[in-house]
Amino acid sequence: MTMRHQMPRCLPPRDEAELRARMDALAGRTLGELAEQLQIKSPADLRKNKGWVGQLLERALGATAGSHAEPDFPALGIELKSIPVDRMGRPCESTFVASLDLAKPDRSWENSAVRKKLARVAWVVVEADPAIALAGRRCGSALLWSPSPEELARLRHDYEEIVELIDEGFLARITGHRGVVLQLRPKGRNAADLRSALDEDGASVRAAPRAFYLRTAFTESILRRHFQMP
Amino acid sequence: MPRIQILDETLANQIAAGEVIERPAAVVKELVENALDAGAKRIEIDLLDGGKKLVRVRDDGSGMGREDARLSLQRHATSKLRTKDDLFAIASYGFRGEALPSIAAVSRFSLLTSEADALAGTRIEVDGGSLGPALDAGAPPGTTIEVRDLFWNVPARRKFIKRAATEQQHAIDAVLRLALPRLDVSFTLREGERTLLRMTAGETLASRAEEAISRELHGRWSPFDAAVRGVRAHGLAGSPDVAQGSAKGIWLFVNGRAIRDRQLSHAVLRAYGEVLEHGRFAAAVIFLEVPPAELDVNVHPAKAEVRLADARAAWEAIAAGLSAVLAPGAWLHHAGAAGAAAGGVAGVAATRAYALGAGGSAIVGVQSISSEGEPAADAERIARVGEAIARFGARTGANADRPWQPSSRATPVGGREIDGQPGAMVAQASAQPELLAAAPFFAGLRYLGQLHQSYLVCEGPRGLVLVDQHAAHERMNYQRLRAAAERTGFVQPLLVPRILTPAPSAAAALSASLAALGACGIELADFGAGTLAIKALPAELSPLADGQLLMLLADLAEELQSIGRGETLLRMRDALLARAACHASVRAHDALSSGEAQALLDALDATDYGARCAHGRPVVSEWAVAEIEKRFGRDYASHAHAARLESL
Repeated sequence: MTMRHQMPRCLPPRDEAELRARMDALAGRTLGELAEQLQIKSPADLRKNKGWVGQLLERALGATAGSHAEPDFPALGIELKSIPVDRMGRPCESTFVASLDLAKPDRSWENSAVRKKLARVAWVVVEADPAIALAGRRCGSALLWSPSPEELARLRHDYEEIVELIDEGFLARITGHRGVVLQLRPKGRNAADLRSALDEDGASVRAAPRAFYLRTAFTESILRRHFQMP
Repeated sequence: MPRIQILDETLANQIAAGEVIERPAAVVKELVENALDAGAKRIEIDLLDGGKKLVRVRDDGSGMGREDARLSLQRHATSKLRTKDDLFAIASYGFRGEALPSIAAVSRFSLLTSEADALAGTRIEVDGGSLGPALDAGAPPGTTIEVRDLFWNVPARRKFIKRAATEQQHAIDAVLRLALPRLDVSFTLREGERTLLRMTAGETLASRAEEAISRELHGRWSPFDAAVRGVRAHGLAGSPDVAQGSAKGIWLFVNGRAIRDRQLSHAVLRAYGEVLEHGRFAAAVIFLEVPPAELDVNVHPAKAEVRLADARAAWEAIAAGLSAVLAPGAWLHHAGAAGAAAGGVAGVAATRAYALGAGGSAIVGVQSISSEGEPAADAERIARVGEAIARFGARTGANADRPWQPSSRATPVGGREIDGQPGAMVAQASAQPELLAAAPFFAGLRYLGQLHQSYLVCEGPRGLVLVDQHAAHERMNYQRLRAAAERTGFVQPLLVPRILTPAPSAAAALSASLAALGACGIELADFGAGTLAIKALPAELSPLADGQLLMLLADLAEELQSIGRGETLLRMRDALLARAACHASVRAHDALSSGEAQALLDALDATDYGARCAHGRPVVSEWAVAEIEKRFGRDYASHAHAARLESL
């Protein structure tokens, strides 16, 4: 995306405290104010600029990794995640975590990209009420989060169950309904965007790329535990 | 010849008298204390000219033999102390052996005493310190001491004695302070032929307390009893409805000895602070029972001050005991003068009998009281009220999604555990358990309607009851806000901060008091260009719209400016929460449905201090049927033809 090259970038935070301070400073600011401060033009809507909010926040906070497999703040091991929320503070969509290599999925949970990305997350809530123009939507309070042992166990269970099914060649049977907190969904530019995978008989097939997402119920529970919802 | 010389005995006694004896009332106190220490059951005190001309104390105690009588007039001669260890286990009023020689050194003094089985009594006279011979005299068992012309030989001190009427009042005060803890002893105080006080043995504490403080308190006492780490506090808590302009109605006793102590008085003021407006004081008679080894009474010449090894425990015991009866509004159950039976604290029993027993139409609404104490009925009531309050909250925009919980009854000191030692504290109204077990006052009211959309009009057991809807809801919200503020980690940030632009002066006041606001659960941050970001709010306040929040901020700023410098963070927090509670509450002129009104009434019973608003103003006011009948000319003494209401 061309915007990536146009946006000025601030230096990555030196430590978690600095990141926390930057996130605190964002809380209450509108996306329009932020864009103006960073001298970025705001789009009228997000229909053709789906990743604009995430990239704006990356710039504002000094994240570097973009959509690579490593966390957005590699030196700190922290992943940046924005959550669009409705008027009641409920997440509007599931949260992308990491893409899955269909040909060679990470069997080990501990070494998986999902585990690494969720080890420490900087959540930034962003208003997404359609009644508010994009530029007028505010950033929410900051939350630096690590999964609790129970959350971690739940994530691991879902992950390992899904990877085992893929290993056994049941990719086609994995729908978004599987997984309590983590789900696997197609993530491609369009229907023609296909990757190699194995079917249940071990034959190579072409399949749409998949990615792991956190369900909205899970992210909402995190928000509810830490914040007073509207 | 050396310049330093030993003082002669008389001069030394006169100097000692300067410390102990400052006025006739001090003579009364010392002599009555001696009588009590001698085991007297009847003590008669006579004054002339307020005690300036004569103080005579006659008792029926053990009396003294001749040798003891002579020794009692020697300085540092006492029967109450033998060794150093005795000094820290004192159970008698006196122990220094100073009082009698000191009094005798500054007056014309005579002592007449006889032991019960003695053939003859002893009379000794002392004139300005010069001791006369011990003579045989006929005397009843006990001791009579006459002190005439106090300070006749110390003119400088005589000048400080006030008029007779004033000295008389001091003497009355001194006798009352000794009489309150000794209900087993009868006291008579006379001025010439006139009886100033007559208290018979065996009468109630309430009746003596009313004599001492105010007869208005008749039937308006709540007994309390609490213990913290071995210190017991018990006594009578006066109704906040009989508040006074000074703290003179607070009487403190430690092991039966009247004392003054700012710290302990503060515990009383703190407990009553929940239910009284600023500057108003209630009456309370408080007895502290402390193990003698934990108490040093040898710190003040007149023993008016003492030192406690664990003063904090005493503070906590008083606060816990009073809170346990004030929080549930125990005084509301008292029928006042009308319902009070003998003893002055039987108002509850009288009220209940009236509510359940009488069949008059005026009290139909309280017939259900009898079943309220049953657990099943309680659970049902709690569920019903919880539901109603949730509806009420949703309607008023407050607490809509918070499950209603009945408050913990009789939780002392604002519901906090003291020093994290819940087990260390016992607090209950033990003297009359039915006091707390009494039927809920507010739920027992029959709701009739709303007056001026501001007051809930109800029928109560004694007549007409009006409840101020705003004050009632304000107290509920205040208790909730404060309970939340006392939980650790109670501050929950808003998901998205709210950005507001208050008036510049308010913004400045608020920005300067972030710590106090933080203690209330309100987190603010400067957001530039005259705006403030509200990052956290108590749940009770978060439903407020931006305009209402701005008004709240302006009010909080005003409160902050009115709070004196040096006020503790806790006091600032409570003052701010009281203001905040006001904003989160239904207002006067808000129409309430009957369901909402009933839910509010029911919830008040479950709210500590529910009978007073957060600023100490009354939530409830009553008009007795008798008062209403009087207005209608149905006071039968003057209108013999008028029929009684229930006979119609």
